[in-house]
This record gives sequence, structure tokens and C-alpha cells, in this order.
Amino acid sequence: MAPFVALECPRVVFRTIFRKEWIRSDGSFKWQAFKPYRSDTLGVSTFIDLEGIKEHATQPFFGIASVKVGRVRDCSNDASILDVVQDTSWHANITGIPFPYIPDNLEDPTLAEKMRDFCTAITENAARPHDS
Amino acid sequence: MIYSRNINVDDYVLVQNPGSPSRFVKKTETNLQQEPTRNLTYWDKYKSAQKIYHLRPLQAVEEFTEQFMKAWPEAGIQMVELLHEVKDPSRVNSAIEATSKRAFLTTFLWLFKAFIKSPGAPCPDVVPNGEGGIDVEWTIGDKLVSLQIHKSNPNNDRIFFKKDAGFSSTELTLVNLLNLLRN
Repeated sequence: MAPFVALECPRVVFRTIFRKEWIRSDGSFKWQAFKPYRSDTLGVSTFIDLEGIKEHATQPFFGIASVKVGRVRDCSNDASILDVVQDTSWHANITGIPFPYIPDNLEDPTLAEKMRDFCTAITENAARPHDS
Repeated sequence: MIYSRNINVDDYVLVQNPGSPSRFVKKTETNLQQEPTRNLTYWDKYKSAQKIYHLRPLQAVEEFTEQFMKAWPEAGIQMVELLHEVKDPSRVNSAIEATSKRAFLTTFLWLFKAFIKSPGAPCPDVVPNGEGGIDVEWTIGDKLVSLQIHKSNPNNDRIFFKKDAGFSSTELTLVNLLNLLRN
């Protein structure tokens, strides 16, 4: 994997929203929009720019949430440090969110609480692209 | 229509008209003298009584569903949309998991339980979580109560609630849910 320079705090990353239920009627987002899926072992998947979404988003989606990298880092606390790590020229992962999934379809309740807390904090700082 | 359980089957007469199904009609002055075309057996009486008894629970379900849809319409509509999704999972983007049948039925059950036991609670938000499960969230002032229904494992069903600092969770039981909704 080619090394990338750390993303600056004012940079904005974009998350595609796969379900309409995750967008409230006022346009804000629910915490499920930033929840890591079971397959997201590297972190919550985001795009660096809107051009990347146009080129690489193969699945249809209902909306886009944007969040500043600095705001994500601000959500860190003593227990976990959140960061946005770029892995390709168009893609980055939000790392540090607790991953509660363990084998046999079980979840660690303590980690699930923390995951939800972090996802809520990120969602509160997220906006639609034209708002940011 | 008769909904009383205190029915004497002998008060009814079996009417058999050619070309139409047989039916039981209450004896009146006009048909009092009308004799059944065949002798009623125990099985005939049992079947007729059973039909009448079954009318009450059906009517109760119908009335209850109507009340539920009036009180919590958004949740009801969302459940109908999820029902279509459960029947046809290909409607959902393949990047996420469609809602599972187990999650749908469990959510349905808990919504009805919550509605019966605490009808004053506000309409909850029914949100599929993208992993095959469903979250049911009540926002009551600053308080947030959320049922997390897992797609397949009942041991993972939990209640999340927001405290002063952050989220906490507890086991999903009716007592816990009602305590959180009422207090």
C-alpha cells in the first residue's frame, strides 16, 4: 500500500448513504449512516472527493454525508483515537471506532455502546455536501 | 353478528338451499317450525360453535391494528415498507444486508407490546441498521430509548438508552423497556 500524507483537518470526506431511513426529514443523518458494517474491518469507508464517488460508487445510494476530518478527530477521547486514514487516491477510512462484531454473530455489548456513542458524535458533525 | 360465547347451538337451524352453501340461521318465528334436513351430529355443532368463537379474536386484532395505525402511523408505514423488503430482499442495495424475517417479526411483536403497555409513549422511529437488524428508537425529551433487534441471534437483542454522559445498554425485557419509557 502506497503511503499517503495525513489528511489535513479542514479536508472534507464523503460517506454514501445506502438507506433512505438514515436521512431525517430535515436532511440531517441518523447514527446508522456512520455505523461500520461487519465487512468494514479497516474502518468506516468514505470518499475523498465527489469525483471519486462518481467514478467508483458502483451501487445506487440515497444521499451523501460530508464531514470534516478535523471534526472526526475532535470526537476522540481517552479510550479511543479517531482518525481518517487515506488508503487510495480516492478513498479513506475513519479508524478508531470500536468494532463490536465477534464471531458466531455475537456482539460485545460494551463495544457496541462505545461504537454507537462515536457514530452519534460523528453524525452530529455531518452535513449534506452543499451545507459544508 | 353474534360475538357472545354463551351460545346454545340448539337455537340455530341448519338451512340448506340447493346451489348455495349450508349455513346456520337463528330460529325465528318464521323458521321455528323448519326442521333441519338432516340430524345434527356433535361434529356439526362443534364446527358451528368454533366458527362463532373465532370471530371475537379476529375482531379484536382488527380493532387493535386500527388503533395502532392511528396512534403510531409512521411506525406502521415503516413496518409495511419493511414487510415488502423481507418478502423481496433484492430491493435493497447489495452493499448492505436486507432486513431479516426474524428481525421483522421480533420488532413487530415488541412494537405491539410497547403500544399495549405504554400507549402514551410517542411514536418510535423504526430504522433498519444495514446489518439485517432493526433499531426502534423513542425520543422522549432529552431521553433516548432504543431497541436493537439482531438479525438472527436473540442473545444480541438489547435496549440502548442515553444517559448524561453517553449510551448504556441493558437486556431486552418488557420490564426494562417499560421502566425506561415511563421514567
